[in-house]
Amino acid sequence: MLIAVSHFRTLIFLVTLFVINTLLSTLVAQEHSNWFEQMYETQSAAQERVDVLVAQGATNISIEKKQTLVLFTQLRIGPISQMDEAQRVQRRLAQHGVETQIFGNQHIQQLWISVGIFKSRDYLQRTKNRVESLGYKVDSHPFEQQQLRYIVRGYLAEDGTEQRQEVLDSVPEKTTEVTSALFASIELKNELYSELGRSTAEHETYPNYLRIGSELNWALSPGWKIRIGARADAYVLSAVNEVRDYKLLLDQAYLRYRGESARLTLGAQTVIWGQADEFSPLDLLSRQDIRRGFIDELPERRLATPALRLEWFLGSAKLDVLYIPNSLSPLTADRDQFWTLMSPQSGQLLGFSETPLIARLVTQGSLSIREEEQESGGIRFTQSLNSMDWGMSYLETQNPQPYFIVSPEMVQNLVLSNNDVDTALAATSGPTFFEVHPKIVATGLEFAWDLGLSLLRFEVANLQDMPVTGVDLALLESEQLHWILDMEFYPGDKDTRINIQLTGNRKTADEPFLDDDETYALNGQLEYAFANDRVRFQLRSRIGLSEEDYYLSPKLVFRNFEPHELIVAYHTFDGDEQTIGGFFDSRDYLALGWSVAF
Amino acid sequence: MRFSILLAVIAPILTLFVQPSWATEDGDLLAQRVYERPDGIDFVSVGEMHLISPGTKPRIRRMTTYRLDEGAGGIRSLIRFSSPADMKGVGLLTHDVSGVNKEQLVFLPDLDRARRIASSRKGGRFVGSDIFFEDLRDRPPNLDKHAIVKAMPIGSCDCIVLESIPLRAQSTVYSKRLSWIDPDTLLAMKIEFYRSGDEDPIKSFKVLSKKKIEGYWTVTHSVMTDLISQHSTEIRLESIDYDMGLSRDRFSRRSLEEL
Repeated sequence: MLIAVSHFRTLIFLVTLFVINTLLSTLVAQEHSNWFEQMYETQSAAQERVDVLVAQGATNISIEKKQTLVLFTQLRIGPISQMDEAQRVQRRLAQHGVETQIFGNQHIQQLWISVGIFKSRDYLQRTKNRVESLGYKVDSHPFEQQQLRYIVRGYLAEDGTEQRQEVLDSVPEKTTEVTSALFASIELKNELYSELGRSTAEHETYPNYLRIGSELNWALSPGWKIRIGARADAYVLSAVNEVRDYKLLLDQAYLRYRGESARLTLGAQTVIWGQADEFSPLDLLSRQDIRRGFIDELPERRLATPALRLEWFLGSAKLDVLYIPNSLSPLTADRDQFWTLMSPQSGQLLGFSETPLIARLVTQGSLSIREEEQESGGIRFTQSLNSMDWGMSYLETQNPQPYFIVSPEMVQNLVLSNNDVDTALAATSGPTFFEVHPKIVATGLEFAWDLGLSLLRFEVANLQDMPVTGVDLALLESEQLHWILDMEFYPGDKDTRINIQLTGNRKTADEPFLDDDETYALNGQLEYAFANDRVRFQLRSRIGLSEEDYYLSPKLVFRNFEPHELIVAYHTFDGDEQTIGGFFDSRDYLALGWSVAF
Repeated sequence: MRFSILLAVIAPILTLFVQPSWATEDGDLLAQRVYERPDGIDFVSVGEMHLISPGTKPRIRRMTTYRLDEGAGGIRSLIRFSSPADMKGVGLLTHDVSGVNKEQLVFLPDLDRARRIASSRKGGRFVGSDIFFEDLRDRPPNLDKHAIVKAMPIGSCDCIVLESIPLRAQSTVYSKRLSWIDPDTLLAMKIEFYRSGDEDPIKSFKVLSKKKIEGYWTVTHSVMTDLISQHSTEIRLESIDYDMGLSRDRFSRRSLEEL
């Protein structure tokens, strides 16, 4: 059992998928007049053609499978007695862009190199000429074989198009008898980022940060790949008390198989679903790293999670299935760190009003993460149509954002002690606060429209079982609707990129709750490249529309000394108490960074 | 007509422009011949772009380019960067039909996902170079009117200077192009790019070396210079293989996502 998905929800998902697909197909279909018939080698190619034809206005399109006798010719080099020799030849051909496969029996010293099996004489002759020009003798072996073909039938929109039947030319098809050649293609990538910070916090603080990442990619064969990535972080906070924290994390590390129409990935991986930049409502499956709040860019705020992922390619569509055996809660900063979400110095806890009661609980109390072993997973269907992508998703996962509540035991003791904090704390044996990550169910739709000089993206997600805090401070479940409208454009068709996002969040629950029931915000990103991208200016912003919540971050990146980059960034926050801007408003931050990738 | 600028490296995609009925027949014919110059059904190339700012160390972008001419104006291309390290794996997939960009997708390896991007950009600089996105496009000759201006030698080439002016100003960021055509190879050995309101060209493209590879004339070394900032981009071809029989699958979203 991969994912605990109820049959009913699955049925709803599939029915909705069918309805939307049908509606979209109908929208792009037009008048028809001419019958046509075309034959394709793969279902994906046939489907791709169907998509094009539908977009051009063809109607009544169908795809039929049919066994057909096809004449093929195999081009091969050999026999070769030694595997080493065969592999040497294969490598040389690969250097010239000719992909081959070795087959035969090594033990009886009968190996051949298959340059490919061809149907088109043109391709065969060109490939033969090409291999022979490299100095190898190539033999041709014709044969007939029953092959499954996909026939696309329908009516074209335009008049005067005659009935056609054709088999599209193909590149060499794979042979069936293959001994995989162990050519090892290994690539290494390393990066280092170092930052010196200065904060305007009450006490002068100098949060320094170092991140080192390394990644190895090993292509075992054309179908198999191993990726091993690791990342080390070091935080040193120089302030009243010096704080040090070091972490070594496994980054993306997986084994990947690429087949004819599917891709299977097993291991630690980062999977980001959705279309929108930065804050996608459907980006719920990747593990978040908010040890530095939200100041880092998206790739740095995501961590790999052990998972099994199947991507199934269906022409212009893709079905993505992800299973995470044990979701991991986000990484947050410890209480004594600069970007902590629970600050004993200031008595703040993210999401809570700064009342004297809460401040004392935060200052004197404790926090525990309520860890729950949770299977997570999701199904996502995406499709590319003419100048548009769309998709829908169904996910069951833990809430990836941290949510804090006062522990039920503490609530009870506060009631019994008539809000006497000292008495309540003394009577509470467990933690004062919990960081909770309840399991949630999400269904979502996503769209991206290419408008030529701009791109419009829209995402909406219905989230069930999301946490909110009741008026008695108890944890409640709510239903939430998160959406984002995102437009990316280039003013004057030049080098400035602007991304504007309007986001909304609406909450409903059976019982009254303390959280804001509706929030709206305007996010923005601006990027401008000077001097042929030797200097880059970036601006990120967030403006709360339903409450005071501001974040502004200008950044200059000097890229003149590749592979080195020098970065100067400023992060400023302001806002109401319960907002992110309000929570960090005493922690404006100036950073001087240096990064190098090699 | 197609001018190999990045060609080989990024793609023999740079094109010229042709041919309304009121243009001189010679200009039309020449533009058409350049556009139809044999350059293979497809190719795979490896090359580098050297971004040169006077007085500073060049920045180098290394890339592999796949290109497929589907006929009837259909061009697909996939550019994959292999260096510098922070760009390694970044891919750009484009699909043009008759000079109109139908689709453009970018693959960002840090996020391990491909994303659709605005397809009709013309004036933005390609990865900080002096090549605009428009310069990478296939531009059919019927989008411009052409006239032969004069004959002018460049080195050993007795080139013909062809003036190309867009029929619709909105279709391009340039108001005019002057191209020095080598009548033997039908390569544009030099192009000057003009912007509306400017008497002098804003950019120039020059072929520094060419070679006949697998029967096709190929630009192996060229330079695009921003005549205002004097920043230049050298395009150096390392290898190219024509007519490999590339399939459309090579130009799919899936292929873009596979490193």
